[in-house]
Amino acid sequence: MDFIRIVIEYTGIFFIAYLIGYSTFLFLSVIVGGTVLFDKRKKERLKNVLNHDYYMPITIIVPAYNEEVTVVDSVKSLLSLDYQLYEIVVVDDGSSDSTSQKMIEHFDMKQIRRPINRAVKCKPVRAIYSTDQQKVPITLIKKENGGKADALNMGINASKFPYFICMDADSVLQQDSLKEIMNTILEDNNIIAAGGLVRPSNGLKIMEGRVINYRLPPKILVAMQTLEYERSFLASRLLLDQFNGNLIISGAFGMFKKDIVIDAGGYDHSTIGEDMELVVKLHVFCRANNRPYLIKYAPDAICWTQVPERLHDLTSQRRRWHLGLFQSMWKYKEVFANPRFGAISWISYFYFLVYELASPFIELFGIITIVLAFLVELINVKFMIMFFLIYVIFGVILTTTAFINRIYTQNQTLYLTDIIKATGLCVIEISVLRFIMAWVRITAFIGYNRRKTDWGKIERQKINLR
Amino acid sequence: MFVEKMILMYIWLCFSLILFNIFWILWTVIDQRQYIKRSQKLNRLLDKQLERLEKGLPVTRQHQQYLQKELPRVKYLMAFAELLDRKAVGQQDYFDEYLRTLSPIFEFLARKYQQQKVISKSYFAHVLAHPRLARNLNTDALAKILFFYLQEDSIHCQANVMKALFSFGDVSSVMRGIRILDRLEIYFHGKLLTDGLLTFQGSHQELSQTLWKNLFQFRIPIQVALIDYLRFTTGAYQEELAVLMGDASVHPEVQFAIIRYFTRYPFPAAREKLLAFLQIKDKDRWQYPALAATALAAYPDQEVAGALQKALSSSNWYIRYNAAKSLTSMQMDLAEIAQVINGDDRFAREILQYFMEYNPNFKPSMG
Repeated sequence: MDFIRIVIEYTGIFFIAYLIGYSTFLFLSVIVGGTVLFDKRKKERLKNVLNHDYYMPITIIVPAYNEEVTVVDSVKSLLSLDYQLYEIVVVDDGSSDSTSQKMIEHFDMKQIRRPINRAVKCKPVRAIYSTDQQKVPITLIKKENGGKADALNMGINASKFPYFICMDADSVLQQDSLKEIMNTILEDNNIIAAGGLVRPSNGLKIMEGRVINYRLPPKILVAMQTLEYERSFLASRLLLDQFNGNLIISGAFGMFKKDIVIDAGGYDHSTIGEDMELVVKLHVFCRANNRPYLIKYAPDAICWTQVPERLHDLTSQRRRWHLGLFQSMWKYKEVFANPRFGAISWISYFYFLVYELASPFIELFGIITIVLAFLVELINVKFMIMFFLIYVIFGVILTTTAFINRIYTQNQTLYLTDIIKATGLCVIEISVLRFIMAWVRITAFIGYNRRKTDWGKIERQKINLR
Repeated sequence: MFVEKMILMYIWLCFSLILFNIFWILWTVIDQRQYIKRSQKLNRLLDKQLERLEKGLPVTRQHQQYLQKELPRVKYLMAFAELLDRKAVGQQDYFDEYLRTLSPIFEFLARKYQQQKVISKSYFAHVLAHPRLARNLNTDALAKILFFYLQEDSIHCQANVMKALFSFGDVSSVMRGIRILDRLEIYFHGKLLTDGLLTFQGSHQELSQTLWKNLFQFRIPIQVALIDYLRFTTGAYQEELAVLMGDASVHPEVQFAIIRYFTRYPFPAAREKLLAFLQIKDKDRWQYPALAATALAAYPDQEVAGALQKALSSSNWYIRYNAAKSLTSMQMDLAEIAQVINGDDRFAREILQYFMEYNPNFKPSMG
């Protein structure tokens, strides 16, 4: 009995420390996020922005696998970007549907015999098509199936310009997003990569590259993901950005300096979390080679992406994300508690390790401890319920704060009904969805070998372009 | 319990942030209404002054005092700037005359904003960059104050000040601005500088001459940006740059900029050096042959074509690519094409075939 008491006591201390760390990180995220965004808007109002007509040329790489529903609309939206010099490279990673056919027919593309530079490893080309009849050159590369990382590597090899954008075929870039993301380069020459703000686009209407009437989506699952995205992109990424500590640039929208990505070896085929893997790799590579570098987050560069609408799709997506996180963390375990990496090691890596990767297991352990403590009557049920309520309230307040921070993002109106809805959804998210997701992440490793390089599809909706 | 208290404190602080945000939303709405009122008032006052000028009467002292009192506040300056945009379209002579009378006020404002936050300083510089304003104010006096703004640690402020200096159209002010950027080792992206110089409102001939005279006093990134500017504006420095291109003591980045210059302005003396660059086999110096391969497209002759043909077999992708592109842009002999197409080098064959198909103007000559 004494032994159980001691174990439960120490477990209690561990959970207090765990909770303090987590709540402090989230708290600092929303406060710093709000402050940074507020400051940005103020600067924008007083024309403290770099507004330039001619930026660096850039290649947009669109990896596509069975994207017949969205690929044409996605490329059409890219053609309306407010930017002078860019090219679009669509890489069809051996789709079994008519992704390529749709592209060839819609854009009247012609087959060409273009040699591709093999700067980074990727599967062979089957055919290349191109057109110069649109606003910017479009290239379509049909290649053997090799996964998303492989498709991106092919895009890097085929790109003609010194910077490239990676994005998803189901995503739409806001009209000014390229300008906004490239502004980071003008501000600091050491920037080797920058990520944009990713927002769910389900059910939204997009006109001339801009979303009209951005409201919280009616579908509960989508709305909950919107809140989650806001918490991440309007809070924690801004906090990590303060010390060059972002370990992820979303695969939905990121800009990279090509030569440094090539020097670092490009995307890793063996991981499914290729977006995180590349960013951590760049941190490690630049530090190992004493190259000055910055990886920035550009919250005004906005990308609209489709999120899963069905629980089944969401769980399979999160399973993939968790596996990707594990692969990247494991591959670069040298970053852990390594003074050479400074705050990246002590804050970013530690946060991802404890509060993202290990959190479902820690939470499961917590539940087991509670049950055990309950059985041996070592728990104060009243206190436990009160504590849970405080936690829920904290979560709700935090998410609502991050949600309201959206007023500082471009052209954003806030609706009272959305705030009320967001508050209600937070309660469901914290008390229901969080546990489902924890279970999904715990079981993510089942069938690891089978899943570790697949594309992991979700059901696509047609993009509502006007 | 400590953790409880801490979380409650966090909740309270987050709640404060929500309240702050709500106040901010309300303040934005109120501020917008006030802004409209301010703009309307300023518009009325300005119209009255324009009417006076039309009748041959001067701008009133009272109006000048009003502007001197209100424009140091950034909100009023914003309303004024908006008005400036609106009035600049259509209003011609009297508006220019009106702006000229504001010259002493703007000098006063420049000193006032010098004492304000960087963000406000930067905004003031942005307003000064308005071409209509720059054309009518005493820009010499303003530039002297702007040089102090330039020393602020803010890329936005520096960019806005440089924009204003370019807009003023005075060569010596631009030179002094660049000197400050150089002396303080301020990071100012080459593209911002080159493109900014291209917007210069004065004589580009005078500017390019002065820049050329002082070119090598600056740090390398600035030298590169200035040569890029010269590339877009004048071919007058071919002889001097050809000498520098062959000078091994010149920094590689500067040499690359010079090679690009000779892509635009072909010069016989540069041809030999470009051909020599094309022969460089050192893998660490691959940029020289790669850039030379592009530049040589502007020097179409047998010898160049032969050298480019050899470059098609380079182990470096960019050299092969640029050589093929240049070759197909010039009249290539059918026999030479056949030599590559039927040769053993698959890479050379593929890249040449691609550009032959890709370039619609490509027509081989018959020997």
